[in-house]
Amino acid sequence: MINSITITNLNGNVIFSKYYNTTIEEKQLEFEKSLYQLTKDEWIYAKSERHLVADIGGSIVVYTNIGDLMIFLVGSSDVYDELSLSDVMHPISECIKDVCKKKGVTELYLIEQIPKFVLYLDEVIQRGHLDQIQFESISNYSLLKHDKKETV
Amino acid sequence: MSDHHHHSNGSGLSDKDLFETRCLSQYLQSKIPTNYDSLKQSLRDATDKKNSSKIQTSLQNLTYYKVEKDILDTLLSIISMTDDKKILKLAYYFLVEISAYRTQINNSAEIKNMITIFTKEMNHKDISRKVVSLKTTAMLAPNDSLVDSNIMEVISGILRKVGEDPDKVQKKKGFFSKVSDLGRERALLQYACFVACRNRFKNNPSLFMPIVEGIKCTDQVGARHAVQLTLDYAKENVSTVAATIKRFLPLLKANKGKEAVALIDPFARRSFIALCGLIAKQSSPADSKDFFQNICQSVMDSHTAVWCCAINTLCKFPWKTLESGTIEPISTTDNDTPSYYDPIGNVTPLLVGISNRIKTGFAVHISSHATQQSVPFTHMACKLINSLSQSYVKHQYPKDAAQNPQVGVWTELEKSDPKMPVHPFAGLTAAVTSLLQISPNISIRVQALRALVWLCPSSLCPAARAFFDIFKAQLYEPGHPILLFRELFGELYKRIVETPILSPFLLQLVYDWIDIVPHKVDTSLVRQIWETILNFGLEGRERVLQNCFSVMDRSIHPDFRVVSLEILKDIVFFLGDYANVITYENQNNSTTLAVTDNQALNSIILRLEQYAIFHPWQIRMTAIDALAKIAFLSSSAVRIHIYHFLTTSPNDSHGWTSVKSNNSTIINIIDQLLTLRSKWLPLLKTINPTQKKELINDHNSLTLQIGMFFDSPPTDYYPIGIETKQLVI
Repeated sequence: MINSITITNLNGNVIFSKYYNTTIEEKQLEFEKSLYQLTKDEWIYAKSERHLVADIGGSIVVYTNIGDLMIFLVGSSDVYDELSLSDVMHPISECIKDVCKKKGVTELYLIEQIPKFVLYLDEVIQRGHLDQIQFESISNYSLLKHDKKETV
Repeated sequence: MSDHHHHSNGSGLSDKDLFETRCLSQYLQSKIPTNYDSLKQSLRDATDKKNSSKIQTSLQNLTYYKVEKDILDTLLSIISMTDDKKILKLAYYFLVEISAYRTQINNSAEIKNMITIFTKEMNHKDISRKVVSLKTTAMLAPNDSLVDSNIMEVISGILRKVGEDPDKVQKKKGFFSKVSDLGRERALLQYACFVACRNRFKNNPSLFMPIVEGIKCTDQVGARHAVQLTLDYAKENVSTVAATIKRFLPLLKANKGKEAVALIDPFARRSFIALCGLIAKQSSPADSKDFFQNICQSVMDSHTAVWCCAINTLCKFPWKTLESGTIEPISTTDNDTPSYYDPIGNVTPLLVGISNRIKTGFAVHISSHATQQSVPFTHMACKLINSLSQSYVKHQYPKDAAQNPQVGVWTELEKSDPKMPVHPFAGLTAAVTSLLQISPNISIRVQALRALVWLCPSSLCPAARAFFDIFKAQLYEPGHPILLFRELFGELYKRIVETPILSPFLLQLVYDWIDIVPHKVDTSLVRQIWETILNFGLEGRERVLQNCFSVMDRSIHPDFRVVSLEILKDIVFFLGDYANVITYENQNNSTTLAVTDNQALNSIILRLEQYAIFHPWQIRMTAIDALAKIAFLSSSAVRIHIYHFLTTSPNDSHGWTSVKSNNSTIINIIDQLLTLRSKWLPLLKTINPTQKKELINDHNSLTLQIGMFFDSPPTDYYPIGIETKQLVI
């Protein structure tokens, strides 16, 4: 399953995090700390939305940089390997860019847009299961417009 | 936790607020002006007043928080009274969030309310409301027979028609304006059913057929969920699933033009490969053949994540199976071929196909420009090369009579043996090695090194030497963290377990590791490597001892003095534990054998005695302990020698006092060992019951005292002598 998604600013402050597994809060903070420590030196290579990979405590992490944000997607490696997490990262990046399209992807603007972002995310991952991956579906379904014709 | 658990500390903030926040992060809370409790209250007020805009604002503001079960009531009221889609979606979003507390929902009024709303929503004309209600209720509603039967009835109703062609039912009244949309509406409902089943009715026998048929669902995400559900069924009953889904296998001749499925969604294809893998592994050869072949064909999938998944699944099969596998020709001009396959003209050996696929992938994704490299791909590819090569090396390496890997002859060769089989993935070595130069990413380097460990030939030939030179070069990279070396040496450790022949190269590399970057050494891993090589016969023991001595006797750069002392301490400790194993010395050796006859043991004792006198006190302590352990496990001659050393060693140097106290305990135990042995040995043949009792007491007392010096007590150990074995058991 997909274990968690975490969004931080470039100083490593957590702006958004969501855990789909049953990790207790204390462990979550611990995990976020090691996530930061083990990847921080390589954040510069994640520029221009390049996807990087890290193995942390039996989980696999794909992370990238968009605007002044870092996005981390964590999966249990038996089902979600680095390539599939990278494939899941694409629609999530699109969602972030879409909710921030008016003012650009900045920390403050994403914070403002979180109510919209969580609804998008709810269409992509539910309870750790991957759901929609086409941005058009994500966007329509999050507005409860399932009947809207998709452009194929 | 509900409000009444909060205790006010007098400042208006509860204790709980001071230490934790319900916000998604503490940092986020510092950036927003709201707080959870007041938002919850305003949501309740707005709901009571049916004030839509305030409901929406409160719900939006609540998305910054982790909500609790106590807003369930309010959310259900909102859903039953609003038609505003934005509000509805938010309310459903929170219901999914609350579903984490589903087991705590036990209020019968709440459950009843849930069912009423569910029934109402499922009869609503809006397809979105049906989809979202079905998905959410299945997640949220507690385990309750009434709820189950309600949801099940709806799901059965929808899925009953799952295999039908949508065109055949177009005449039925649809909810969409256009008749052609009917198929899509049904597919969406089916999709909602599959999501609901994943969260509520996994492996339900009555839904088996419609779910398996769901693999053909025209909603691609729905089809993916159906494949995943089928995989769950297969884990319980593989043969039924195999028999049912065989007709769906794409590219299988018998299925062409019939029910072969084309899964457009790459994640669905990955799950389908996992399903085929499970069936192929667990079924009879006849049943598994077509499923295995489907995985082989998936190596030609055009989506990188899918073909990598296929190779990854193949890694779980024995090397022999892979060696005889083939990829059958795929023609993309054939109308029956799904569009997601790359063409392949001839029957290709599976291993060649895999190697070519990875090689082509590297050609696309490895570039000297860091920005053009695909890190996820190269990471994955190295992992695949590692798994496949491991499988090959284990299969190919010669075994001894007991089917253990042969130790072999440890002489470095000047030339490679022309008869040595060529590693099937040798062609990928250059690309993997190049990653070490061009990728700045540590995790890529780690994976590349792990792959190289298994690409190395199983021989002490120049070609293998070249690999170890690459590994050695890594020690000089200033940016490499200890983690990288842990991974590298951990993998090399696994390698020598499978191919002991490479031990001499590894021991040389261990020396370099300690010599070049002592501050990046993991001594527990070094110890593990030594312990393993000790099992490789006389040669193994000699080489390990040599390795220890080379490390101990080398000159140390002043910068590394402190860290090198730590390493030295660990080696001294190791020698204490293993000196007797390395040198074959034990308590049962003839007492007439002089200690000087065992040269290896002699040189160990000599070094330890030096360390016990001329080094900082921590090393002295460890050296004395090590000598003690050797004495306890050795014959009387060695015991007497060490006893003599400990009783006469100088006692005037700095820090000796602390060593001295430990020393006296050890001297006392050796004293007992020697005295009791000489006391009991002449009596053993004529021992009476009272004496026997006394002997057992002595035995137990000594074993207890000596046991304190070992992490795990020595097995089959008789402190007074092996002669007492029959008497003390």
